[in-house]
Amino acid sequence: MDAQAALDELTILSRQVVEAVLLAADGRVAASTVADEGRADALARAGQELLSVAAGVRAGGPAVERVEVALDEGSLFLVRDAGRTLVATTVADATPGLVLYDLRTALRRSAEAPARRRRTRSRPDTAETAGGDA
Amino acid sequence: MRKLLLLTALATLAWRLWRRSRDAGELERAIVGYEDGSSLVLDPGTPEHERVVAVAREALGR
Repeated sequence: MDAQAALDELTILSRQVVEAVLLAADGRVAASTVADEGRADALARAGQELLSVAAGVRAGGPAVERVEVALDEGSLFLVRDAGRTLVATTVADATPGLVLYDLRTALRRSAEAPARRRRTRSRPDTAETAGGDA
Repeated sequence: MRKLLLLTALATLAWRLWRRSRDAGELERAIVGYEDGSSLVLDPGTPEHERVVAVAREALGR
């Protein structure tokens, strides 16, 4: 599954996630559920800012894996794995555990290789037979 | 009697204000989790908490 498909699936399956932006290791937007490019960039910047502040809380400590900021109007989530970062906004009163599970699943699936189509064997003898009968 | 009513009204008002401020504080929650499984809650009023809340508020201002 590619990154865009993983995010599309995320917003279909999760009723709490409103927007999601996947950042590559270099910080650029790799995939997004937001049609407006400016909005996607704004969420990417917000994610990088969250990471910067969170990393400063325990400077020299372990790497930041998630940041969750819940406000009355909604929440801003960030999860990281293997250098990739997923930033998402949610509805108000979102359930953190469920949102984090969905985000981690999407992040993991975004790293999976696109599914290959199974090749089916051609059956020339059948075709010839069918052609012969016609 | 009038003093009692006034006192009750003031107490109710104070309780409602306290509840509102407490609920507002609870809703502005910021948590950071780390790769080693540890996590911490950013205390309201700290510069880090104020910063991430400001970032989130701006990001959520759709």
